[in-house]
Amino acid sequence: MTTTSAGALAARVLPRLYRDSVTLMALASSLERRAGVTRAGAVMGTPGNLTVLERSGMRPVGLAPAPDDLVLVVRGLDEDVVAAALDAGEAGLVAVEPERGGRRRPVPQTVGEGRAADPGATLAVVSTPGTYAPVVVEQALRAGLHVLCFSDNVTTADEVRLKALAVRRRLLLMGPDCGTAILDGVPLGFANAVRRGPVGIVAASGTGAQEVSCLLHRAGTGVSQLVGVGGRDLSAEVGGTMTDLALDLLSTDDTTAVVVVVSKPPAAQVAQRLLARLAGLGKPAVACLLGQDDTDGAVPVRGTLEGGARLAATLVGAPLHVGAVVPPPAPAARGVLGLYTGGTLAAETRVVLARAGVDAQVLDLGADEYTVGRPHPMIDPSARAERVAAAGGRADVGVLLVDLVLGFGAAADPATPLARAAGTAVAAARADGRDLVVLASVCGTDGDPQGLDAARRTLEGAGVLVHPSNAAAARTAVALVAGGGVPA
Amino acid sequence: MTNRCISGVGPARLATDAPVPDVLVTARVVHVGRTSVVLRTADGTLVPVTSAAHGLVPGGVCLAAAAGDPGPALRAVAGAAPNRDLWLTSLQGAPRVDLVVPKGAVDAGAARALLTGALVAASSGGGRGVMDPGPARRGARTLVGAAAGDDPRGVRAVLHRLVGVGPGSTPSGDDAVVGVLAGLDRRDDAAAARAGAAIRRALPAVLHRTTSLSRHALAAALRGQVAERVQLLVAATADAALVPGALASARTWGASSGLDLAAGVGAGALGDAAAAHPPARPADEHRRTA
Repeated sequence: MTTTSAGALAARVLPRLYRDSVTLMALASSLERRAGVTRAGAVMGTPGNLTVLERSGMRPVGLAPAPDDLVLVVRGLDEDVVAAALDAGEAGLVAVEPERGGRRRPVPQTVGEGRAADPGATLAVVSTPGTYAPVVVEQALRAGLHVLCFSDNVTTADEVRLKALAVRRRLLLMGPDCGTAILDGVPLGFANAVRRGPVGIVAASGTGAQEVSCLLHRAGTGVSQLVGVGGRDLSAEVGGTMTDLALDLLSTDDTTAVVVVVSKPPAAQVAQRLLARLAGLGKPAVACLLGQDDTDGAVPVRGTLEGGARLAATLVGAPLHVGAVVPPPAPAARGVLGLYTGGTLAAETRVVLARAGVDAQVLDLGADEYTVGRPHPMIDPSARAERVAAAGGRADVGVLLVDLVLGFGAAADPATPLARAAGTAVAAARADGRDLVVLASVCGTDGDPQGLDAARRTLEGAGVLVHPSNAAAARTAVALVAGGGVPA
Repeated sequence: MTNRCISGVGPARLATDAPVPDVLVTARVVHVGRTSVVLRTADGTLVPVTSAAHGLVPGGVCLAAAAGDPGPALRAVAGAAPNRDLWLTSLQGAPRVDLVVPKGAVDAGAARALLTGALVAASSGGGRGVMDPGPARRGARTLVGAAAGDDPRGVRAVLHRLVGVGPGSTPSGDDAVVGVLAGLDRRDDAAAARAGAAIRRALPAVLHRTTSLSRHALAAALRGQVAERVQLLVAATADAALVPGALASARTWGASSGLDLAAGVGAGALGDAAAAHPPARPADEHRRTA
């Protein structure tokens, strides 16, 4: 450890340890976001890299690894901050005991070893690269475990095969590409600290499920179970296999009084079958199918997340009141730009704008095309923040829509970089003689680790107009620009 | 210790010139990445195992499978963890693939587009300091300039600055050098041959400065061999229409390796004109993605 007036600097050498470069990039980025950490790196200990570290003031005295050694290096405010960051970084990297050293307890490497270590386990979370996920999922299912498969890039053929296997064994296979679930009150993946309550949610949409569950929490009610099924489950190819099983389980779950299914519009024949299935469920149900027209048949359909949450809340006797926000003066430029971290939130915004005839550019920055080689923007807010700041330079944009997703798994403080970027964008527009209105909503609860009120205050302090729901923010955008122009 | 037996793999493919034995025993898993699993045999030889979706790597084994499907065998290999042993058998009779870069036409516009695409990406991606692949990608131009300028001291100096430098278990500078050699090898002119020879004279002296995985790739490049996916980048230098697809594919190879290789291939194929290539501007990136 080297401590100077510039803070503390230390490194940790992990002998002969290779890790995927994506992992190393994400690790360095996450370490730099820790409070008190000013700089972090995770590189191979080659002479060339040591020279770069030396030149950038990041090489601690005495650091002399071999080229095949992995080096973690952290600069921070003090020794405690740096040591904690190195511990966290090492814990994230070391999966097995190294060839030299022997300081760490080996952790399970396979499903079988995991079962042996914890015979009472009932669920496996799979987050390997997608190409390897099917074999691990199959091992877990054959071991009698429910599975949450966070991995994406799993083929549809594998998904169909594995879900058929899961159904035969009456096991949940949540995913692939499932990011959110709450089972028996235990949050998995990106979930929020929502109150337990009578509403069961089956979701083919991660941030959609988060928004609905947070709105239910805000209404004073809560969630019995939130079962993610993966974004393709209601496609024609997969046929809603896991949605069916989840509905079976919720229909006999004593803690569930009302069921909500959240999805983008499914394939037509699957939608028809889903509505028939919900009609015969034996419990009140809401089909929250983004973009569909709101209808009140045997099973009511709602085309927005807010609409689905509002109806479910009413059905359990806890009406949801989404307050209106008084819009500011309309900007001269009528173009609307949406920069979202949540794909379903972006989709809901498109629905609200399209229903009002407002054309807009709404980007889901969590989509694969924007996240190659870097973490999802809900984990690393920096890339989205850069785009928000840059939006201030666009003369055609008068309204900027953003989301902020809190909860387990999300960034420790996503509000600060977004607020700074929004402030930068507004200032840039003003310097150019223009007005830019930034509209936001915060998907989160008062129990989330980031703090809902703190996040809202941070955004409002930067001049962002914070709304009680994503749909409400989109409605304000409509009020500001209806009949206006379209950004390029 | 869990041993795994990978048998009945075929039809697997082997590199033409790589000394991969037909039967590998007690190979140790030293790296489990997104697109490959790397084994080390008892004699220290590294054997990258890839699937058909990602193509053969020099000195490696490629497990044939349906397009887009890495195949059950690679998944089983991936189920092993670093520092675990496994047995890899039944490779006898596997077809072999020539990974030597073929000579062919180079279109200057395509090579420039490949180089620009990689450099522009570097202007906004990656991390800071030693986690930033940008300097290594820009270094590809400098290396080509020194080699084309008959400047042995300059070549040695640039290689010293590139080899083993940058993020990743194959540091960005190494990938850029592999790409430069591939780009130069593609060209069928005397200037390219001289530049390639200059780099090949200097490179062995700095191989000790990088990781085992990189030494494996650099040694193959010295022999004129590059991975099949690098061959896709090389092929793109003949036709600008192929460049966007090649860059999109390269973006999926690790956090930075694909674009590091693309910068090298573009610079090598462009030749001494690469040294005068203007630096990428962040504004270009904003236009591309806005």
